[in-house]
Amino acid sequence: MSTRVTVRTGGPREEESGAAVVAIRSFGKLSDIVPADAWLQIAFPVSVEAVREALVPAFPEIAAVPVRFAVDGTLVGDDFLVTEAREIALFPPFSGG
Amino acid sequence: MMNGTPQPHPDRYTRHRTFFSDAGWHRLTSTVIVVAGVGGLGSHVLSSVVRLGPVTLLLWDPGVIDEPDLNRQILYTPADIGRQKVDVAAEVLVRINPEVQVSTQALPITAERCDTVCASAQHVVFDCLDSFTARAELDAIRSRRGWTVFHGGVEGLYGQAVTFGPDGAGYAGVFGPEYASMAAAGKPILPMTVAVIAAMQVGEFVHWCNGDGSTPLSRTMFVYDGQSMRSDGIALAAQS
Repeated sequence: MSTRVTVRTGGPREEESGAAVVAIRSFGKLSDIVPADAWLQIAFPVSVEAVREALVPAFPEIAAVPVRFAVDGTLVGDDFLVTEAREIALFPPFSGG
Repeated sequence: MMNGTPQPHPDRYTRHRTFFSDAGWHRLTSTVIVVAGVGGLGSHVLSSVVRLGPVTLLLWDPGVIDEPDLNRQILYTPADIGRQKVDVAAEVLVRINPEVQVSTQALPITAERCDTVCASAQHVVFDCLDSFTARAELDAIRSRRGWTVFHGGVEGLYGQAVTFGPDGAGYAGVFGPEYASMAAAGKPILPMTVAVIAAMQVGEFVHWCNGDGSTPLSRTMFVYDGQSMRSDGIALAAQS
């Protein structure tokens, strides 16, 4: 598991040396799983897969949802290397109509 | 098929006719507009599309109207409970615009049925379905028949709209192939979420009519967040 990505909840969002503060935004059912005060500390560069691996232990229900990630407004694959980000968004597919 | 009794109503399109090029208007009035799912999204989509022009519609939905539907499925009233959705929808649509042609299939849309029902004319399809399984079937139809799909999906206070062209990886390309095996969420659906997403789907269709096949939401997914009252455009990677 990557130690370059740390999931935090609540508290002051302060950058640690070498690690940036990255906001998490969740949509749909993921907003019930990932609390609104959750955020990430990331030592770039990291893969999206590493972000996913860090989120699952903190919020295990994520593993049951085909979550896609967007980095600063662009949908990316798990192999995408994130070199900087202000926000990482988590998307599930919506089934309703 | 239900046809209204066409009456000349030259003024009923004047407030929006100028938004269409002549080629766009021809596209609008010559394309078979398939609406897969005549529930929440489908009701809102049809309520707009039927007003655009003398369109040709093909409705697919096996469902029967029940009371919970009435919170968002704007084509139906309490008097319609127990009736087939496509039958009531066709009646309502022809009353709204007697110049439209409406065909109905009170069945789930499948590739095999499309081969039988859908003639060789150009088709586009509004994805107004309510299950991942049905969407997987529609995605296969898109690829097989070369259709453009105006997708909408909603869940509670959230929704998304994106357009999938005949080429490309489609829905699975955005959400991964595992989406088709997911259970439907069963979350509440609110009428305003449905209205927002359906409006985006119809807007895309209008762009498609006027354009060269590349529409704004073929490159960007519209995401509605009714919790924080935001909407975002999420850029998509090139669909390979």
